Amino acid sequence: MSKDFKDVETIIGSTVKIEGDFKGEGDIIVEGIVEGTLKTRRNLKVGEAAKIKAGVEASNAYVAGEILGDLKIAESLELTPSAKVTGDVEAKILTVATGAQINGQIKMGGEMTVEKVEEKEEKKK
Amino acid sequence: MYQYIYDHYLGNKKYDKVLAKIEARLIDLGIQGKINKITLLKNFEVYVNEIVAKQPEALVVVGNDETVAKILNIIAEKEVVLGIIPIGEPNTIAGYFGIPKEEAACEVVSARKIKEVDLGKINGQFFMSAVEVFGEGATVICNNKFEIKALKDTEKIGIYNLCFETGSHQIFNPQDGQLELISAPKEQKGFWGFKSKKQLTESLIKIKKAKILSSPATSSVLVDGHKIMKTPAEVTLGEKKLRVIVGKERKF
Repeated sequence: MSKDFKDVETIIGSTVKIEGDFKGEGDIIVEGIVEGTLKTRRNLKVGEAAKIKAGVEASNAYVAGEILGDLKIAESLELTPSAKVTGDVEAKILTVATGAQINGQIKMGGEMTVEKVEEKEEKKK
Repeated sequence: MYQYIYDHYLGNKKYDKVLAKIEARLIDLGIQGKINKITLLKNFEVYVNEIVAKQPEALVVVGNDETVAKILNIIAEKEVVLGIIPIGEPNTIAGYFGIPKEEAACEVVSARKIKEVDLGKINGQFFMSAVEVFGEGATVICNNKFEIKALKDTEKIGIYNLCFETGSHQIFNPQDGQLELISAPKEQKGFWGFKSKKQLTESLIKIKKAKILSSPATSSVLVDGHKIMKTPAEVTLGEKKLRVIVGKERKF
């Protein structure tokens, strides 16, 4: 997964906290704290020390930290042994390492893109 | 016709030789023009505006970073091409644009390779490089969408148009129509105060505009490394780009 992070557009470092709607077009690496919503059309990497209290949407995600919120991943989601997710998880392909925690419903295999996820949300509004 | 502006410190005799060499080289290259010497008695803004009104082929600043910074707020968003002949220190702006010092800069001015670069704007004033706010507790609202708070171990949050430091991120392009927000962590000390191998991660976020909020810990910001301004401060990009004569060795 880390090989895919060549064009990192955003890094949220370990000494900052972000609150609000964060939307990116490129790859995002999170090492700090995020509260609100976090969306990208590309890849997301959540570091071991990261704490996310937000709804998360991405094309692919590699999670080693903590997420409190729903996860909608259009393609592949990888959870490492240190990952802790509290919320519903939606992904086409899911890899869960021994020790990773998921507390929520899991939905897999559906055809879904980040754009479609956003469209659905808009229709709800 | 080219218009040359000499900063007042070049009146010192020690610069006579180098100025004579530059003037001779400009004649050789066929780009000699009107020399305007800044004195402390003249109103700088009125003086420069009069020169710009003459619609020169290029306005060439002869001086250092401070000379360029002074002129920037007057010529930004005007139809003028800026050239630089660096003399003395500091001259990081010229270095970034690939302009060598003194006589050698004349070749670059003569070659007239022009690039359009973004300018930053803070509370209506223009800046070339960066706005920096120091310490824990600094808060920046970005694009009116999200807020970034500096936690413990943050050295500074910087909003960059272009960066002169040779740090880990060499991606500051002053032509991309974006600003880069960087939060730099404090250096982590290890055993006996030596630099620890494990350092905290920097943040990097591309933004269009920002508002630096005021707090007891962050009542001022540092602009382009030398000017202090009060918070709250609105930071954006200028609407028009600045046209600058650059050299082959430019860093973007």
